[in-house]
Amino acid sequence: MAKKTKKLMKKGKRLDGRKPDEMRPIKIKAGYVKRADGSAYIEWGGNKVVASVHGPRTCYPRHERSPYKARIQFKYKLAPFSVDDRANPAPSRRDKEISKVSSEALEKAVFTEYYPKTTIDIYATVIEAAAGTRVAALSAASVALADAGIPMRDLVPACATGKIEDTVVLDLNKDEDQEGQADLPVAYLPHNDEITLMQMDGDLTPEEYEEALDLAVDGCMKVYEEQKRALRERYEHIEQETEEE
Amino acid sequence: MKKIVIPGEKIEEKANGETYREKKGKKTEKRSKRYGMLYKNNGRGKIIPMKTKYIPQKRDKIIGVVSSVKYGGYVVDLNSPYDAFLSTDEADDEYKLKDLISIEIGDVDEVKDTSLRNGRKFYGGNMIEINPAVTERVIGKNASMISMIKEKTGSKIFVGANGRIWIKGGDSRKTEKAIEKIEEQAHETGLTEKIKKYLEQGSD
Repeated sequence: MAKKTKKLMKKGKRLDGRKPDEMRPIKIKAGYVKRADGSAYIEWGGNKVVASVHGPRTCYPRHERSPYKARIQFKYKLAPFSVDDRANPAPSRRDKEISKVSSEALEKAVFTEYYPKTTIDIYATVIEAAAGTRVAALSAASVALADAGIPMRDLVPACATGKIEDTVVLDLNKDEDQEGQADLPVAYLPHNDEITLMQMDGDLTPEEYEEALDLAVDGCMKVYEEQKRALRERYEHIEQETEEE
Repeated sequence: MKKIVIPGEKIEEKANGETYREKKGKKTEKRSKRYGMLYKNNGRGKIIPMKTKYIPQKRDKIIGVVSSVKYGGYVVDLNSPYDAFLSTDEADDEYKLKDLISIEIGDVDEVKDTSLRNGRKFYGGNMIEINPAVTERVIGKNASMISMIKEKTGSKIFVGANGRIWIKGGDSRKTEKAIEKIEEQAHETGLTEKIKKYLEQGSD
């Protein structure tokens, strides 16, 4: 018997009332964890993620050190209470995969060659998950890296697109992610027009893929604006004081 | 004039340090590589990062903490991602674990292996740590800030380029507070005057 699929669109709009190219509300706060060298907190739809950066610091174990560059170590973690069922606190296959692709996505943006033999540790903890946690974690981690004073080529915004009921949509929510036909998370370097992360679940035709990619890049640009706003907001009072003087 | 800059942001001015060049079509663009404050003055710019980690540089005078005692010398924590070794020949005394010493950076190679020289032990006093990016502000132009603090509080102060500051004697509590204030307000103008007022009146 064919699986009964949930209805995800009504009169050209999604169930949460968004248009296909509309994102969920997003808010980033830079400098969230006092003990970290740099940190950020992101609220994106129902997602809540804290990213903290520690380092550059001496790299242990020694055999992981590179004499040429710093190692970017991203640790993605779903808190046990972040999902409906309890998430096992031990690193899962999914956690390891997201950590690996995210560190590679960020490594492209960081001048790692400035800090040989060191490690830059990034911890992204998902407090509440509602689809799109990897892009939320990556976007927050990028702000946290800048906040830590690490030299970077650019910020790395990330956003996901997907397909539901044969329509390409931006920023899937939880139901759309689970019941939809495809999911395409993308991380992007805006200045160089370079993609540093792309994964795909499900099926897209070549035309749909092109459309989804364009939409993802548009989404990344919106995230990029929010990242810049968050960083500007942190030291805004200093800038304003000078203008007054 | 000053402006917050974000990594990747295009810089129009002639900015020294903390920028990189990227080819865009036929043109090359200058962009910031740090999250910091861009100070503009007569078409010239300077980017001061909001935060940095200290990276050893030749001839820097810094404050180290002895982190391990070895047969031929000491492993010294430099408040940096890199530790360094100080030979007993370069030490003025016999050091113990966690002793504070002033040292000069000798040679630094491409993998940041660092040699140290002129180890001198600090006897007594306290050490505070600040953001290494603002040590220049603590010292001030022609050492104006640090001399003023020394004069007003009567403390002996040594500012290490690695963001460690040693304070002894005088009104050391007030000195510490004044330095914390400088760190907090490092990007403000007229800071020497503000700190002078604070030291004289005990408030801003």
